[in-house]
Amino acid sequence: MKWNSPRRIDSSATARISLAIALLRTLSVVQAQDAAISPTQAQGALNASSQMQSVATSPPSNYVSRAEYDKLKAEHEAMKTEHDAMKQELDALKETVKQLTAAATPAPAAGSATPVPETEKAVSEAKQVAGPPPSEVAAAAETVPVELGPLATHSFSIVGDAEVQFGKISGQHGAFMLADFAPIFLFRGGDRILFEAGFDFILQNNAPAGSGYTTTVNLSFATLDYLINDYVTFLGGNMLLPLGTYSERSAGWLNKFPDAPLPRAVLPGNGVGVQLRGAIPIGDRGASVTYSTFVDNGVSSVNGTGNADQLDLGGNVGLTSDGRFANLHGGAGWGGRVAAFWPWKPGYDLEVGVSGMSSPWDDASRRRYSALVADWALHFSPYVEVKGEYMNTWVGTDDAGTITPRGWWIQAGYKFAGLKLDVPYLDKLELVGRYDTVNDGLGSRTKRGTVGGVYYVTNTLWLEADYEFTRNHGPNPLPDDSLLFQISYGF
Amino acid sequence: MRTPKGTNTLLSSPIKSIHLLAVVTISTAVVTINFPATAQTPAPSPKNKAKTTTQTTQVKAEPLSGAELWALNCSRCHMARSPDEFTAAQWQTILRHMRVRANLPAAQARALQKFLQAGAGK
Repeated sequence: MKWNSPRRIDSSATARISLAIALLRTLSVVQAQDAAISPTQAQGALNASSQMQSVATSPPSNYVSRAEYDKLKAEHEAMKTEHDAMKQELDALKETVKQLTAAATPAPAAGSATPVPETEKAVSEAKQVAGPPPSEVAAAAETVPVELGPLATHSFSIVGDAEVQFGKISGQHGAFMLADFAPIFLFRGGDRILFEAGFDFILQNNAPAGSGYTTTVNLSFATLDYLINDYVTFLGGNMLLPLGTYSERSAGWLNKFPDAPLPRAVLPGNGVGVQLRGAIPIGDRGASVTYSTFVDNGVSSVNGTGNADQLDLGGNVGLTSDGRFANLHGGAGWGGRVAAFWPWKPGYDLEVGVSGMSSPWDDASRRRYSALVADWALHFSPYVEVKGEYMNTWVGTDDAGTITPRGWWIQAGYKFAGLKLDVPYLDKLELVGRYDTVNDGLGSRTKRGTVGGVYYVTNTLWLEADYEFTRNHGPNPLPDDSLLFQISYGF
Repeated sequence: MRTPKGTNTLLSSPIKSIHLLAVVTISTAVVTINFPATAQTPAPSPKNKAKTTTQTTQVKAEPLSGAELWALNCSRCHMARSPDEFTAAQWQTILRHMRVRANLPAAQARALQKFLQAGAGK
């Protein structure tokens, strides 16, 4: 018998030998098992041998079966779908961050059809003179969580201002004074309501014969505001009257002078009543027309008569000193203001307004007080401001016929930052000047020129210094030349 | 200036002017009071939306951003406040106050509020 050499043994023979060895091993395992082996276990052993045969006859192990391929393919498809969804979510998040960053950056909104490089320049200039750094807002915005949650529907805040003053009037002793502490309480209720109340706390000597001092608290305004819609807001209460702009913009850190323009004395500053006001935008570049119209108790008389020197511009609040509910003259005062605001780029704008009011003022309601006011404000760079008011009033009287208290004022300011000298302290200085004049309609006239400066320690902390040159004519002279220093803080 | 007792020649003309001013302001208020508030305005239909989009394309100008409105408005009367000087909730209250006090158009006030709240302090 001739044996084939090992090299000539073919693969089928090898498979048969492997199968035989597997069967023998299986049988030996079965015999070694306990006699109580179950038919299932035996069948499992047979299956195992069958698998071994299969392995012996199957292709090499790096091949993938159809089932495995389909399974892997399904897993791949699922992962791909999940990846696409995550990518879309990431893109959406990126877009959100981009929008937030764009909203918080003073540059024009992304996609704007009309890029305004001048805006960027003006905002940059405004940063130098206004203090707050809007360009840093973008960085700050990135630190703000995207989801802050809803803001509270009700909120209480206090803002306002305080002033400390040193004054030296010609011929008198100089003195320090707490010129004013003027908090404004703001309560926001829901989507439409705001209650605002402004106070003035002032210290006064118990002069001339008393000791100590008195703290005077004035309620300068207190109104309930209701936003009727985008164009109309209702106000009710003790209102600042919209006669010109000064009464609504006179806080210590808004006014660049320690005192008010003289001719404001011929107008009432506030009144108790109701008001409708609002603004209508014109175009989409920031221009608007604004209006305010009011009805109040009107002005009154100190002693009830119509004598010229008894006009009281702030004393008809509806409750008399003996507790009675009464309008002193039974009539109503009414008036309003219409204005146009036209900005052409940041730091460059013009506002022009005309306002007036009319009211009986003596207790018999036979004499009327009427006022007409023109106001304007012009900014022709972030560094230059010119504004003023002209006011004329007509007061019918019992003893002097119709008198016409009147006056006007104009003021200008220039911020040295506009020179771009980059001198640290000079850049925070503004040179200011004002000229004001008033005629009381009874023969007294005063003309005053004021020059001074404002040093901006911060955007809300100011140091003011002014010298006022005053010239009086007539029987009722106002204070003479004076030197005033003031620290103003807005909060 | 004094005028003879009982003479109202100076008075009649200015009072007429004030009457006219009052009529104008009250008329403006009456007309605008009928405008619905934004919050009450129903969402535009798809048809109107398309129309609005077309109009926007024709005008080729977008409303000013909150940052631009900040630069335009806030320095008019006072030194502008930095967004991080108040919290988001405080800005909401302050912007309502400023909308009333400074007669800011409502849409501008909303854009300003959004800008200031984006950079608000905590």
